[in-house]
Amino acid sequence: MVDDVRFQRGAETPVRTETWKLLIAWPFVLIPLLLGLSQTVIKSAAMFK
Amino acid sequence: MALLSFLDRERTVAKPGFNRWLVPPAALAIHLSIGQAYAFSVFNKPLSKLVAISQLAPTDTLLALSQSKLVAAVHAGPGDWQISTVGWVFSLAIVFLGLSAAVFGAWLDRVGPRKAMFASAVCFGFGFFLGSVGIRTHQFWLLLLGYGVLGGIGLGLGYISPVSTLIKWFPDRPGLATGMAIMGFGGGAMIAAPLSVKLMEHYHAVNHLSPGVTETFITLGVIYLIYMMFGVFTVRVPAPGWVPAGWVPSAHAKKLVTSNNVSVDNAWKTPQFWLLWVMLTANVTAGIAVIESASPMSQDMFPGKVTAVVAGGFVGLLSIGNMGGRFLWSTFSDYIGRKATYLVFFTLGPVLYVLIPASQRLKSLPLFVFCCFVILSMYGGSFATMPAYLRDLFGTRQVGAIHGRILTAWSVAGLIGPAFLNYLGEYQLRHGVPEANKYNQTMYLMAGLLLVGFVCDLLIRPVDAKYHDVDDGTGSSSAIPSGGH
Repeated sequence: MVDDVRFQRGAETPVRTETWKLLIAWPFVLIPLLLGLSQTVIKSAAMFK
Repeated sequence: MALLSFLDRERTVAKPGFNRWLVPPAALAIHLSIGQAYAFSVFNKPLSKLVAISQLAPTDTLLALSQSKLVAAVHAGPGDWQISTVGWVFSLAIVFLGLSAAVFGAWLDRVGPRKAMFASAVCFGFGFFLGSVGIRTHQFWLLLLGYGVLGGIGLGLGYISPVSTLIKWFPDRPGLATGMAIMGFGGGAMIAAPLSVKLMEHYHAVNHLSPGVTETFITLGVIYLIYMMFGVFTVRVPAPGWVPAGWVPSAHAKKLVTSNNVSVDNAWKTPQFWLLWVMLTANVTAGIAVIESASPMSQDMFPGKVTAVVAGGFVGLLSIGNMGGRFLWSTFSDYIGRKATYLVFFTLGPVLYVLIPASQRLKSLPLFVFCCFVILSMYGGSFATMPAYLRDLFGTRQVGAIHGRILTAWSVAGLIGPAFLNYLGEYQLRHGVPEANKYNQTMYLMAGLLLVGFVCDLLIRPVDAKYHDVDDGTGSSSAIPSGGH
Protein backbone atom coordinates (compact mmCIF):
# COMPACT_ATOMS: atom_id res chain seq x y z
CA MET A 1 0.00 0.00 0.00
CA VAL A 2 2.84 2.36 0.87
CA ASP A 3 4.35 1.83 -2.56
CA ASP A 4 1.02 2.43 -4.21
CA VAL A 5 0.46 5.69 -2.38
CA ARG A 6 3.96 6.87 -3.11
CA PHE A 7 3.47 6.09 -6.73
CA GLN A 8 0.07 7.69 -6.97
CA ARG A 9 1.31 10.92 -5.40
CA GLY A 10 4.17 11.23 -7.82
CA ALA A 11 2.56 9.56 -10.78
CA GLU A 12 4.11 11.96 -13.27
CA THR A 13 7.63 11.87 -11.83
CA PRO A 14 8.76 8.38 -12.77
CA VAL A 15 7.54 8.90 -16.31
CA ARG A 16 9.51 12.11 -16.74
CA THR A 17 12.69 10.61 -15.34
CA GLU A 18 12.47 7.72 -17.77
CA THR A 19 12.02 9.83 -20.86
CA TRP A 20 15.81 9.91 -21.34
CA LYS A 21 15.83 6.13 -21.37
CA LEU A 22 13.31 6.15 -24.19
CA LEU A 23 15.40 8.70 -26.05
CA ILE A 24 18.36 6.35 -25.92
CA ALA A 25 16.57 3.04 -26.35
CA TRP A 26 14.49 3.79 -29.42
CA PRO A 27 17.25 5.36 -31.56
CA PHE A 28 19.51 2.48 -30.53
CA VAL A 29 17.26 0.06 -32.37
CA LEU A 30 15.64 2.33 -34.94
CA ILE A 31 18.83 3.83 -36.42
CA PRO A 32 20.30 0.46 -37.54
CA LEU A 33 16.87 -0.62 -38.74
CA LEU A 34 16.38 2.54 -40.80
CA LEU A 35 19.92 2.32 -42.18
CA GLY A 36 19.27 -1.25 -43.27
CA LEU A 37 15.90 -0.29 -44.68
CA SER A 38 17.36 2.60 -46.68
CA GLN A 39 20.00 0.27 -48.17
CA THR A 40 17.24 -2.12 -49.19
CA VAL A 41 15.11 0.65 -50.66
CA ILE A 42 18.08 1.86 -52.72
CA LYS A 43 18.63 -1.71 -53.94
CA SER A 44 14.93 -2.11 -54.68
CA ALA A 45 14.94 1.06 -56.76
CA ALA A 46 16.61 -1.05 -59.47
CA MET A 47 13.15 -2.54 -60.05
CA PHE A 48 11.80 0.78 -61.22
CA LYS A 49 14.69 2.06 -63.37
CA MET B 1 26.01 -18.48 -9.44
CA ALA B 2 25.33 -15.31 -7.44
CA LEU B 3 27.19 -13.44 -10.15
CA LEU B 4 24.36 -14.16 -12.54
CA SER B 5 21.56 -13.43 -10.09
CA PHE B 6 20.75 -10.23 -11.99
CA LEU B 7 19.25 -12.54 -14.59
CA ASP B 8 16.63 -13.88 -12.19
CA ARG B 9 13.00 -13.16 -12.86
CA GLU B 10 12.58 -11.46 -9.47
CA ARG B 11 15.28 -8.95 -10.43
CA THR B 12 13.44 -8.02 -13.62
CA VAL B 13 10.05 -7.13 -12.13
CA ALA B 14 9.36 -3.52 -13.09
CA LYS B 15 9.05 -0.91 -10.37
CA PRO B 16 5.94 1.28 -10.34
CA GLY B 17 6.08 3.92 -13.01
CA PHE B 18 8.27 1.89 -15.36
CA ASN B 19 7.59 2.99 -18.89
CA ARG B 20 6.38 -0.03 -20.83
CA TRP B 21 7.57 1.54 -24.10
CA LEU B 22 11.10 0.56 -23.06
CA VAL B 23 10.26 -3.10 -23.57
CA PRO B 24 9.77 -3.03 -27.37
CA PRO B 25 13.33 -1.68 -27.95
CA ALA B 26 14.64 -4.49 -25.72
CA ALA B 27 12.72 -7.00 -27.82
CA LEU B 28 13.83 -5.34 -31.05
CA ALA B 29 17.49 -5.53 -30.02
CA ILE B 30 17.13 -9.30 -29.80
CA HIS B 31 15.07 -9.75 -32.95
CA LEU B 32 17.16 -7.38 -35.08
CA SER B 33 20.19 -9.47 -34.11
CA ILE B 34 18.82 -12.94 -34.70
CA GLY B 35 17.15 -11.75 -37.92
CA GLN B 36 20.70 -11.96 -39.29
CA ALA B 37 19.88 -15.57 -40.09
CA TYR B 38 17.89 -14.50 -43.16
CA ALA B 39 21.06 -12.88 -44.52
CA PHE B 40 23.21 -15.99 -44.18
CA SER B 41 23.13 -16.47 -47.96
CA VAL B 42 25.69 -13.64 -48.38
CA PHE B 43 28.27 -16.14 -47.06
CA ASN B 44 27.28 -18.96 -49.42
CA LYS B 45 29.58 -18.08 -52.31
CA PRO B 46 32.66 -17.11 -50.26
CA LEU B 47 32.26 -20.26 -48.16
CA SER B 48 32.14 -22.39 -51.29
CA LYS B 49 35.53 -21.11 -52.54
CA LEU B 50 37.70 -21.06 -49.41
CA VAL B 51 40.14 -23.76 -50.53
CA ALA B 52 40.52 -22.32 -54.03
CA ILE B 53 41.26 -18.85 -52.63
CA SER B 54 43.69 -20.21 -50.03
CA GLN B 55 45.65 -21.92 -52.81
CA LEU B 56 46.23 -18.73 -54.78
CA ALA B 57 49.85 -17.60 -54.78
CA PRO B 58 50.46 -14.52 -52.61
CA THR B 59 51.51 -12.70 -55.77
CA ASP B 60 48.39 -13.63 -57.76
CA THR B 61 46.79 -10.53 -59.27
CA LEU B 62 43.32 -11.86 -58.41
CA LEU B 63 44.06 -11.19 -54.73
CA ALA B 64 44.22 -7.47 -55.44
CA LEU B 65 40.57 -7.47 -56.49
CA SER B 66 37.79 -6.52 -54.09
CA GLN B 67 36.40 -9.43 -52.06
CA SER B 68 33.22 -9.75 -54.12
CA LYS B 69 35.14 -9.65 -57.42
CA LEU B 70 37.67 -12.15 -56.11
CA VAL B 71 34.92 -14.56 -55.09
CA ALA B 72 33.25 -14.14 -58.47
CA ALA B 73 36.51 -14.67 -60.37
CA VAL B 74 37.78 -17.75 -58.55
CA HIS B 75 36.41 -21.19 -59.40
CA ALA B 76 35.68 -23.60 -56.57
CA GLY B 77 38.52 -26.07 -56.18
CA PRO B 78 38.66 -29.72 -55.16
CA GLY B 79 37.84 -29.99 -51.47
CA ASP B 80 35.71 -26.86 -51.49
CA TRP B 81 32.23 -27.05 -50.01
CA GLN B 82 29.36 -27.06 -52.52
CA ILE B 83 26.87 -24.18 -52.25
CA SER B 84 24.12 -26.77 -51.74
CA THR B 85 26.15 -28.20 -48.84
CA VAL B 86 26.64 -24.75 -47.30
CA GLY B 87 22.86 -24.27 -47.56
CA TRP B 88 22.49 -26.91 -44.83
CA VAL B 89 23.95 -24.51 -42.29
CA PHE B 90 20.96 -22.18 -42.61
CA SER B 91 18.48 -25.06 -42.78
CA LEU B 92 19.91 -26.63 -39.63
CA ALA B 93 19.75 -23.27 -37.85
CA ILE B 94 16.04 -22.97 -38.69
CA VAL B 95 15.38 -26.56 -37.58
CA PHE B 96 17.09 -25.84 -34.25
CA LEU B 97 15.19 -22.57 -33.99
CA GLY B 98 11.93 -24.51 -34.00
CA LEU B 99 13.19 -27.31 -31.79
CA SER B 100 14.74 -25.05 -29.15
CA ALA B 101 11.67 -22.80 -29.10
CA ALA B 102 9.55 -25.88 -28.45
CA VAL B 103 11.87 -27.41 -25.86
CA PHE B 104 12.83 -24.27 -23.92
CA GLY B 105 9.49 -22.43 -24.06
CA ALA B 106 8.32 -23.74 -20.68
CA TRP B 107 11.75 -22.96 -19.15
CA LEU B 108 11.47 -19.41 -20.47
CA ASP B 109 8.08 -18.92 -18.82
CA ARG B 110 9.59 -20.14 -15.55
CA VAL B 111 12.86 -18.18 -15.48
CA GLY B 112 11.69 -15.03 -17.24
CA PRO B 113 12.83 -13.22 -20.38
CA ARG B 114 16.15 -11.83 -19.13
CA LYS B 115 17.77 -15.19 -18.50
CA ALA B 116 16.41 -16.56 -21.78
CA MET B 117 17.66 -13.51 -23.71
CA PHE B 118 21.07 -13.87 -22.07
CA ALA B 119 21.23 -17.55 -23.03
CA SER B 120 20.14 -16.61 -26.54
CA ALA B 121 22.87 -13.96 -26.86
CA VAL B 122 25.55 -16.34 -25.59
CA CYS B 123 24.44 -19.16 -27.91
CA PHE B 124 24.10 -16.87 -30.92
CA GLY B 125 27.42 -15.08 -30.31
CA PHE B 126 29.37 -18.24 -29.56
CA GLY B 127 27.70 -19.91 -32.53
CA PHE B 128 29.53 -17.38 -34.68
CA PHE B 129 32.79 -17.94 -32.83
CA LEU B 130 32.62 -21.73 -33.16
CA GLY B 131 31.54 -21.32 -36.77
CA SER B 132 34.58 -19.15 -37.44
CA VAL B 133 36.82 -21.94 -36.14
CA GLY B 134 35.05 -24.30 -38.54
CA ILE B 135 35.68 -21.91 -41.43
CA ARG B 136 39.30 -21.30 -40.45
CA THR B 137 40.07 -25.02 -40.19
CA HIS B 138 37.68 -25.90 -43.03
CA GLN B 139 35.82 -28.36 -40.83
CA PHE B 140 32.22 -28.31 -42.03
CA TRP B 141 30.90 -30.15 -38.98
CA LEU B 142 32.21 -27.36 -36.75
CA LEU B 143 30.40 -24.76 -38.85
CA LEU B 144 27.24 -26.84 -38.60
CA LEU B 145 27.67 -27.27 -34.86
CA GLY B 146 28.51 -23.60 -34.34
CA TYR B 147 26.14 -21.60 -36.49
CA GLY B 148 23.61 -24.39 -37.20
CA VAL B 149 23.12 -25.98 -33.78
CA LEU B 150 24.39 -23.46 -31.20
CA GLY B 151 23.35 -20.44 -33.25
CA GLY B 152 20.02 -22.11 -34.05
CA ILE B 153 19.33 -22.58 -30.33
CA GLY B 154 20.15 -18.88 -29.88
CA LEU B 155 17.66 -18.07 -32.63
CA GLY B 156 14.87 -20.09 -31.03
CA LEU B 157 15.43 -18.74 -27.52
CA GLY B 158 15.76 -15.19 -28.80
CA TYR B 159 12.69 -15.43 -30.99
CA ILE B 160 10.32 -16.44 -28.21
CA SER B 161 11.90 -14.73 -25.21
CA PRO B 162 10.41 -11.22 -25.56
CA VAL B 163 7.05 -12.25 -27.02
CA SER B 164 5.13 -13.31 -23.92
CA THR B 165 6.60 -10.38 -21.97
CA LEU B 166 5.33 -7.95 -24.59
CA ILE B 167 1.90 -9.53 -24.52
CA LYS B 168 1.78 -9.02 -20.76
CA TRP B 169 2.89 -5.38 -21.05
CA PHE B 170 0.41 -4.61 -23.82
CA PRO B 171 -2.84 -6.43 -22.98
CA ASP B 172 -4.66 -3.62 -24.77
CA ARG B 173 -2.63 -3.96 -27.99
CA PRO B 174 -0.99 -7.41 -28.13
CA GLY B 175 -0.86 -7.48 -31.92
CA LEU B 176 0.96 -4.15 -32.10
CA ALA B 177 3.41 -5.23 -29.40
CA THR B 178 4.37 -8.58 -30.89
CA GLY B 179 4.34 -7.07 -34.38
CA MET B 180 6.99 -4.56 -33.33
CA ALA B 181 9.30 -7.29 -32.03
CA ILE B 182 8.78 -9.80 -34.79
CA MET B 183 9.17 -7.02 -37.36
CA GLY B 184 12.74 -6.87 -36.07
CA PHE B 185 13.34 -10.43 -37.22
CA GLY B 186 12.39 -9.37 -40.74
CA GLY B 187 14.49 -6.24 -40.50
CA GLY B 188 17.57 -7.96 -39.11
CA ALA B 189 18.57 -9.29 -42.51
CA MET B 190 18.42 -5.80 -43.99
CA ILE B 191 21.08 -4.73 -41.50
CA ALA B 192 23.14 -7.91 -41.58
CA ALA B 193 23.43 -8.33 -45.35
CA PRO B 194 25.13 -5.01 -46.16
CA LEU B 195 27.08 -5.11 -42.88
CA SER B 196 28.47 -8.57 -43.63
CA VAL B 197 29.40 -7.61 -47.19
CA LYS B 198 31.19 -4.48 -45.96
CA LEU B 199 33.03 -6.42 -43.25
CA MET B 200 34.22 -9.07 -45.71
CA GLU B 201 35.42 -6.32 -48.09
CA HIS B 202 37.21 -4.59 -45.22
CA TYR B 203 38.99 -7.70 -43.95
CA HIS B 204 39.98 -8.71 -47.46
CA ALA B 205 41.41 -5.21 -48.02
CA VAL B 206 43.45 -5.56 -44.82
CA ASN B 207 44.66 -9.06 -45.67
CA HIS B 208 44.54 -9.85 -49.40
CA LEU B 209 45.15 -13.54 -48.73
CA SER B 210 41.86 -13.87 -46.85
CA PRO B 211 38.29 -13.70 -48.22
CA GLY B 212 37.39 -12.18 -44.85
CA VAL B 213 34.71 -14.68 -43.82
CA THR B 214 36.38 -15.94 -40.65
CA GLU B 215 37.08 -12.43 -39.40
CA THR B 216 33.54 -11.33 -40.30
CA PHE B 217 32.08 -14.21 -38.30
CA ILE B 218 34.13 -13.21 -35.24
CA THR B 219 33.17 -9.55 -35.60
CA LEU B 220 29.48 -10.36 -36.02
CA GLY B 221 29.65 -12.61 -32.96
CA VAL B 222 31.06 -9.75 -30.87
CA ILE B 223 28.62 -7.16 -32.27
CA TYR B 224 25.54 -9.32 -31.71
CA LEU B 225 26.66 -10.43 -28.27
CA ILE B 226 26.97 -6.80 -27.16
CA TYR B 227 23.86 -5.58 -28.98
CA MET B 228 21.70 -8.35 -27.52
CA MET B 229 22.95 -7.47 -24.03
CA PHE B 230 21.13 -4.17 -24.45
CA GLY B 231 17.92 -6.18 -24.62
CA VAL B 232 19.00 -8.34 -21.67
CA PHE B 233 19.53 -5.35 -19.38
CA THR B 234 16.55 -3.32 -20.58
CA VAL B 235 13.79 -5.93 -20.44
CA ARG B 236 11.42 -5.95 -17.46
CA VAL B 237 8.38 -8.04 -16.61
CA PRO B 238 5.26 -6.40 -15.21
CA ALA B 239 4.41 -6.91 -11.56
CA PRO B 240 1.67 -9.51 -10.98
CA GLY B 241 -1.70 -7.99 -11.67
CA TRP B 242 -0.28 -4.94 -13.45
CA VAL B 243 -2.52 -3.33 -16.07
CA PRO B 244 -1.94 -0.18 -18.11
CA ALA B 245 -3.15 3.01 -16.45
CA GLY B 246 -6.76 3.68 -17.29
CA TRP B 247 -7.17 0.44 -19.20
CA VAL B 248 -10.28 -1.55 -18.46
CA PRO B 249 -10.78 -4.87 -20.22
CA SER B 250 -13.72 -4.64 -22.61
CA ALA B 251 -17.01 -5.43 -20.93
CA HIS B 252 -18.16 -7.01 -24.17
CA ALA B 253 -15.91 -10.04 -24.12
CA LYS B 254 -15.00 -11.28 -27.58
CA LYS B 255 -15.97 -14.88 -28.13
CA LEU B 256 -12.46 -16.10 -28.93
CA VAL B 257 -10.62 -14.02 -26.33
CA THR B 258 -10.36 -15.89 -23.06
CA SER B 259 -9.69 -14.49 -19.62
CA ASN B 260 -8.62 -17.98 -18.51
CA ASN B 261 -5.28 -19.68 -18.91
CA VAL B 262 -4.33 -22.99 -20.47
CA SER B 263 -1.03 -24.67 -19.57
CA VAL B 264 1.35 -25.65 -22.33
CA ASP B 265 0.78 -29.33 -21.60
CA ASN B 266 -2.96 -28.92 -21.98
CA ALA B 267 -2.71 -26.59 -24.98
CA TRP B 268 -0.86 -29.38 -26.77
CA LYS B 269 -3.99 -31.56 -26.40
CA THR B 270 -6.52 -29.11 -27.79
CA PRO B 271 -7.71 -29.17 -31.40
CA GLN B 272 -7.19 -25.40 -31.51
CA PHE B 273 -3.44 -25.83 -31.10
CA TRP B 274 -3.21 -28.23 -34.01
CA LEU B 275 -5.51 -26.15 -36.21
CA LEU B 276 -3.23 -23.17 -35.63
CA TRP B 277 -0.19 -25.37 -36.26
CA VAL B 278 -1.57 -26.43 -39.66
CA MET B 279 -2.47 -22.81 -40.47
CA LEU B 280 1.04 -21.61 -39.71
CA THR B 281 2.59 -24.49 -41.64
CA ALA B 282 0.39 -23.74 -44.66
CA ASN B 283 1.08 -20.02 -44.69
CA VAL B 284 4.82 -20.37 -44.10
CA THR B 285 5.23 -23.17 -46.65
CA ALA B 286 3.48 -21.05 -49.26
CA GLY B 287 5.53 -17.98 -48.36
CA ILE B 288 8.82 -19.87 -48.47
CA ALA B 289 7.95 -21.08 -51.97
CA VAL B 290 7.96 -17.45 -53.12
CA ILE B 291 10.95 -16.33 -51.02
CA GLU B 292 13.14 -19.18 -52.23
CA SER B 293 12.28 -18.68 -55.87
CA ALA B 294 11.84 -14.89 -55.99
CA SER B 295 15.01 -14.07 -57.89
CA PRO B 296 15.05 -16.92 -60.46
CA MET B 297 11.26 -16.87 -60.83
CA SER B 298 11.18 -13.17 -61.73
CA GLN B 299 13.98 -13.67 -64.28
CA ASP B 300 12.46 -16.81 -65.79
CA MET B 301 8.94 -15.43 -66.04
CA PHE B 302 9.95 -12.06 -67.47
CA PRO B 303 13.07 -12.75 -69.55
CA GLY B 304 14.59 -9.57 -70.93
CA LYS B 305 12.61 -7.40 -68.55
CA VAL B 306 14.13 -8.66 -65.29
CA THR B 307 17.92 -8.84 -65.15
CA ALA B 308 19.96 -10.18 -62.24
CA VAL B 309 20.32 -6.63 -60.86
CA VAL B 310 16.58 -5.96 -61.12
CA ALA B 311 15.91 -9.35 -59.49
CA GLY B 312 18.15 -8.29 -56.60
CA GLY B 313 16.01 -5.19 -56.21
CA PHE B 314 12.89 -7.36 -56.33
CA VAL B 315 14.21 -9.53 -53.50
CA GLY B 316 14.89 -6.38 -51.49
CA LEU B 317 11.35 -5.18 -52.12
CA LEU B 318 9.99 -8.49 -50.87
CA SER B 319 11.99 -8.21 -47.66
CA ILE B 320 10.38 -4.80 -47.09
CA GLY B 321 6.97 -6.46 -47.59
CA ASN B 322 7.94 -9.23 -45.18
CA MET B 323 9.05 -6.77 -42.52
CA GLY B 324 6.23 -4.26 -42.98
CA GLY B 325 3.61 -7.02 -42.99
CA ARG B 326 4.78 -8.20 -39.59
CA PHE B 327 3.96 -4.86 -38.05
CA LEU B 328 0.93 -3.82 -40.09
CA TRP B 329 -1.03 -7.08 -40.17
CA SER B 330 -0.54 -7.83 -36.47
CA THR B 331 -1.53 -4.27 -35.55
CA PHE B 332 -4.54 -4.57 -37.85
CA SER B 333 -5.50 -7.78 -36.03
CA ASP B 334 -6.03 -5.76 -32.83
CA TYR B 335 -8.95 -4.09 -34.59
CA ILE B 336 -10.52 -6.86 -36.67
CA GLY B 337 -9.53 -9.88 -34.56
CA ARG B 338 -7.04 -12.67 -35.19
CA LYS B 339 -9.47 -15.07 -36.84
CA ALA B 340 -10.57 -12.44 -39.35
CA THR B 341 -6.94 -11.51 -40.06
CA TYR B 342 -6.07 -15.11 -40.89
CA LEU B 343 -9.24 -15.40 -42.97
CA VAL B 344 -7.91 -12.47 -45.01
CA PHE B 345 -4.58 -14.32 -45.45
CA PHE B 346 -6.36 -17.48 -46.54
CA THR B 347 -8.79 -15.84 -48.97
CA LEU B 348 -6.60 -13.13 -50.48
CA GLY B 349 -3.57 -15.45 -50.53
CA PRO B 350 -4.95 -18.11 -52.92
CA VAL B 351 -6.17 -15.38 -55.29
CA LEU B 352 -2.70 -13.84 -55.39
CA TYR B 353 -0.97 -17.20 -55.93
CA VAL B 354 -3.26 -17.93 -58.87
CA LEU B 355 -2.61 -14.45 -60.24
CA ILE B 356 1.17 -15.07 -60.39
CA PRO B 357 0.97 -17.41 -63.42
CA ALA B 358 -1.71 -15.10 -64.85
CA SER B 359 0.63 -12.13 -64.57
CA GLN B 360 3.14 -14.00 -66.68
CA ARG B 361 0.51 -14.77 -69.34
CA LEU B 362 -0.57 -11.12 -69.30
CA LYS B 363 3.12 -10.08 -69.37
CA SER B 364 2.35 -7.74 -66.48
CA LEU B 365 5.41 -7.27 -64.30
CA PRO B 366 3.65 -4.76 -61.97
CA LEU B 367 0.93 -7.34 -61.26
CA PHE B 368 3.56 -9.98 -60.55
CA VAL B 369 5.46 -7.67 -58.19
CA PHE B 370 2.25 -6.61 -56.43
CA CYS B 371 1.16 -10.24 -55.86
CA CYS B 372 4.54 -11.29 -54.47
CA PHE B 373 4.79 -8.20 -52.28
CA VAL B 374 1.38 -8.75 -50.66
CA ILE B 375 2.05 -12.50 -50.28
CA LEU B 376 5.29 -11.75 -48.42
CA SER B 377 3.53 -9.19 -46.22
CA MET B 378 1.06 -11.92 -45.25
CA TYR B 379 3.89 -14.40 -44.70
CA GLY B 380 5.40 -12.01 -42.15
CA GLY B 381 1.97 -11.13 -40.83
CA SER B 382 1.17 -14.75 -40.04
CA PHE B 383 4.28 -15.01 -37.85
CA ALA B 384 3.58 -11.75 -36.05
CA THR B 385 -0.13 -12.33 -35.47
CA MET B 386 0.28 -15.87 -34.14
CA PRO B 387 1.39 -14.96 -30.57
CA ALA B 388 -1.66 -12.72 -30.14
CA TYR B 389 -3.92 -15.49 -31.49
CA LEU B 390 -2.40 -17.89 -28.96
CA ARG B 391 -2.90 -15.38 -26.19
CA ASP B 392 -6.56 -14.95 -27.20
CA LEU B 393 -7.20 -18.69 -27.08
CA PHE B 394 -4.91 -19.91 -24.30
CA GLY B 395 -4.39 -16.86 -22.05
CA THR B 396 -1.12 -15.16 -21.15
CA ARG B 397 0.30 -17.44 -18.46
CA GLN B 398 2.22 -19.88 -20.68
CA VAL B 399 1.86 -18.17 -24.02
CA GLY B 400 5.66 -18.17 -24.46
CA ALA B 401 5.89 -21.92 -24.14
CA ILE B 402 2.87 -22.50 -26.38
CA HIS B 403 4.33 -20.12 -28.96
CA GLY B 404 7.57 -22.09 -28.79
CA ARG B 405 5.77 -25.34 -29.50
CA ILE B 406 3.87 -23.91 -32.44
CA LEU B 407 7.08 -22.72 -34.05
CA THR B 408 7.87 -26.36 -34.91
CA ALA B 409 5.51 -25.59 -37.80
CA TRP B 410 8.24 -23.26 -39.09
CA SER B 411 10.80 -26.05 -39.03
CA VAL B 412 8.46 -28.35 -40.93
CA ALA B 413 7.58 -25.64 -43.45
CA GLY B 414 11.28 -24.87 -43.87
CA LEU B 415 11.83 -28.43 -44.99
CA ILE B 416 8.74 -29.05 -47.14
CA GLY B 417 8.46 -25.57 -48.74
CA PRO B 418 11.73 -25.68 -50.69
CA ALA B 419 11.24 -29.40 -51.38
CA PHE B 420 7.85 -28.72 -53.02
CA LEU B 421 9.37 -25.96 -55.08
CA ASN B 422 12.47 -27.80 -56.24
CA TYR B 423 11.00 -31.23 -56.93
CA LEU B 424 7.84 -29.96 -58.59
CA GLY B 425 9.88 -27.55 -60.73
CA GLU B 426 12.29 -30.30 -61.79
CA TYR B 427 9.42 -32.70 -62.47
CA GLN B 428 7.78 -30.20 -64.78
CA LEU B 429 11.00 -29.45 -66.64
CA ARG B 430 11.51 -33.19 -67.18
CA HIS B 431 8.04 -33.31 -68.74
CA GLY B 432 8.80 -30.57 -71.23
CA VAL B 433 7.23 -27.60 -69.45
CA PRO B 434 8.99 -24.38 -70.53
CA GLU B 435 11.29 -22.73 -67.99
CA ALA B 436 8.95 -19.72 -67.69
CA ASN B 437 6.00 -21.94 -66.73
CA LYS B 438 7.69 -24.32 -64.31
CA TYR B 439 6.46 -22.35 -61.29
CA ASN B 440 2.78 -22.44 -62.24
CA GLN B 441 1.86 -25.78 -60.68
CA THR B 442 3.69 -24.87 -57.48
CA MET B 443 1.71 -21.64 -57.21
CA TYR B 444 -1.59 -23.51 -57.71
CA LEU B 445 -0.52 -26.07 -55.13
CA MET B 446 0.29 -23.29 -52.65
CA ALA B 447 -3.12 -21.72 -53.30
CA GLY B 448 -4.67 -25.09 -52.42
CA LEU B 449 -2.57 -25.32 -49.29
CA LEU B 450 -3.85 -21.94 -48.16
CA LEU B 451 -7.42 -23.15 -48.63
CA VAL B 452 -6.63 -25.92 -46.11
CA GLY B 453 -5.56 -23.15 -43.75
CA PHE B 454 -8.82 -21.33 -44.46
CA VAL B 455 -10.84 -24.37 -43.36
CA CYS B 456 -8.71 -24.74 -40.22
CA ASP B 457 -9.26 -21.09 -39.30
CA LEU B 458 -13.00 -21.44 -39.79
CA LEU B 459 -12.98 -24.41 -37.40
CA ILE B 460 -11.36 -22.44 -34.56
CA ARG B 461 -13.65 -22.21 -31.53
CA PRO B 462 -12.95 -21.16 -27.94
CA VAL B 463 -10.94 -23.71 -25.98
CA ASP B 464 -13.08 -26.10 -23.94
CA ALA B 465 -13.26 -25.13 -20.24
CA LYS B 466 -11.93 -28.57 -19.23
CA TYR B 467 -8.47 -27.44 -20.41
CA HIS B 468 -8.44 -24.24 -18.33
CA ASP B 469 -6.08 -23.93 -15.36
CA VAL B 470 -8.03 -24.46 -12.13
CA ASP B 471 -6.49 -21.51 -10.28
CA ASP B 472 -7.61 -18.94 -12.80
CA GLY B 473 -8.80 -15.60 -11.64
CA THR B 474 -6.98 -15.72 -8.35
CA GLY B 475 -3.87 -13.84 -9.17
CA SER B 476 -3.02 -12.67 -12.58
CA SER B 477 -6.40 -11.25 -13.39
CA SER B 478 -6.73 -9.09 -10.31
CA ALA B 479 -6.32 -5.54 -11.45
CA ILE B 480 -3.88 -3.44 -9.43
CA PRO B 481 -3.81 0.13 -10.74
CA SER B 482 -0.07 0.51 -11.07
CA GLY B 483 -0.03 2.81 -14.05
CA GLY B 484 2.68 2.95 -16.68
CA HIS B 485 2.67 3.77 -20.36
